[in-house]
Amino acid sequence: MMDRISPLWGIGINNGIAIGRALVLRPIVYAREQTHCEDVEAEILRLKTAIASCAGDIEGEVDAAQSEHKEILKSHLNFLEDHAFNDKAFARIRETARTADSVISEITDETYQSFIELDIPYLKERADDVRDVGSRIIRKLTNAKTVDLTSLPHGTILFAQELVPSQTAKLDKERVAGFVTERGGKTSHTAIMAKTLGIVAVVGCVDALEDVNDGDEVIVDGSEGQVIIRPDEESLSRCRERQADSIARKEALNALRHKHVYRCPGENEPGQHVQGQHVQGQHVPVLANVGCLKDIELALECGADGVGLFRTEFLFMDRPDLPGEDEQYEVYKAAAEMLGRKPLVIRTLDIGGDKSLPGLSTPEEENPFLGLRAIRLCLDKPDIFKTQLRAILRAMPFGNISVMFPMISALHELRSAKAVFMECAEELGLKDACEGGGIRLGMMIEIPAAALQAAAFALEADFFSIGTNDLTQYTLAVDRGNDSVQYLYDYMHPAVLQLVATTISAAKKEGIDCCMCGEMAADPYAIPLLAQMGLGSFSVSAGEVPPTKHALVSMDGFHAKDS
Amino acid sequence: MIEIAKKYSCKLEISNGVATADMGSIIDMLRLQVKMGDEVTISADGEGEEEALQEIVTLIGNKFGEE
Repeated sequence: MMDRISPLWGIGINNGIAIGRALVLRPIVYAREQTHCEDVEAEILRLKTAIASCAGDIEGEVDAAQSEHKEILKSHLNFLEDHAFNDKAFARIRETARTADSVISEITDETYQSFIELDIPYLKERADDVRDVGSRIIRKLTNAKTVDLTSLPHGTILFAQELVPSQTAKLDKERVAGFVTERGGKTSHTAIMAKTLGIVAVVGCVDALEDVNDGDEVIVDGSEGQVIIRPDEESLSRCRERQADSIARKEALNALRHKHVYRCPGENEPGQHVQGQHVQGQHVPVLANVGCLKDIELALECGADGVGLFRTEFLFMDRPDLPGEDEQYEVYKAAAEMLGRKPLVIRTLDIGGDKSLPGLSTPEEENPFLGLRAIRLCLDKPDIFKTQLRAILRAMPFGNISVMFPMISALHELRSAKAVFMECAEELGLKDACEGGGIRLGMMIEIPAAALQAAAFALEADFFSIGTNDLTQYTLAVDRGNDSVQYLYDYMHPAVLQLVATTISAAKKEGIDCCMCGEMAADPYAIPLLAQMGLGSFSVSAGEVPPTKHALVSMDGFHAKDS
Repeated sequence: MIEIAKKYSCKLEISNGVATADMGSIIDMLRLQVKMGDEVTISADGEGEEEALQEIVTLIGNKFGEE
């Protein structure tokens, strides 16, 4: 049927719209029925030759590949030469007197299934590698023709069940406008490739190959996750318009990258006395949430005014022991130096309960989110806490560091945490440097009790940072990770908004900074509300920095200026 | 690890107490699902067994060269 068909839906990767012509990579169908072979030893030899020839191909591709592909292709060599896999194939050819292609196809499927059944995201991706290598051998055995991906027409939209590394390694990226795949989720190979290359894609688009032909005109809408095959004039012109808008938006975001956002002084506001502020207004920093040093690099590229949340957990994860003081010091120092005078807010270890550490045995809990986690764990294990605080203290001279304590629910916790900090400062002879505002000690507001008592906390904390993810979860009694109650998880719930407003106004009253580092801070629908409440700064993931600035300066009373 | 196992002709096996995998097979090794911090037993049998074991222990000790 060549008529226009209704749109297909999948998971959109990268915002934007691509309009182009389809090129369909159809899966090879193997005729498993005609599988009898006369001479098993000759068949095994044929398979061995095919494997050796594939190995030669891959080695050639490794040399030509870009770095992100080199490793994938090298691992394919390991799969290709896997003797457990190959011995099984040789044995099965002998036992069943079937052709090499049918046996490889079967064993590939079995191995693929055994990986999928283990239900571990990492292994699912490796399962795709197994299949990629398996079909490579079969293509070699059957001399199947493959589409030449090195020379594509400009504006090609690739359709496939799932793109595999052996295909994307050869891809001429300049000429591909979009990807559409039937399989795959947000972490699939296609999705990762699309993100790396900045190509619009829709993955997990079921039955996408069914009604598309090579050369069909196609619209791929990454923001909506929509694919329109053979669109009519109306949809085409609508999409061209949106395409132009999205290019304009991209340019606007780019222009904002190295500008700062200012809140214009309100006419009815009691005058701000600080000189100069009447001209510029108040700076509203848009900061970044980061989880490692590499993120800081990215955050600076995106134009972040600093780091509003440095999660330190990465230092502790995926290792059997705990990081020592010197090791942590080197990381905090490097982070501070990368940022220079820009603020770096280090959050102390936020772990325990559901997130356990291999290097730290914690008893299993019935209710980990309400258990011994974050600051509670740190105060319970002062050795771990002090090691981290000493490392931070030693890194202080190298930048503009503040310390933030997570999961504070009661005043005495904040007091204890501050006392441990000062104890460390004294041990290091840095007590004088820390007193009288030498270092800012703040806290997360992520437990309703802390938000309700914000006025009391504001007297003792140097700043607040509202963690909306946990605040929402605790206020609404909704587990963020539980799909069946997702519909109740809503940071725009009036109760959550009320706690946010209480926190912001308590901070304003005491003249301390109030930041927000949860998901809500990057939501274009929430930003105007938060700005009106008087939120002092926003901390969002690096990629969200330009859109957040854009959302702010799009409002009356805000403007962007060069530093 | 696979690279090391390939270099030696001896039989190298890794066990996590539940199952045992041939260290020369990436598929076997992945199926074993060994995670950071797990306790494993590695055994070698055949030509070059001492050296092979030594090299693997060093690799693990260096945290796979990732630090």
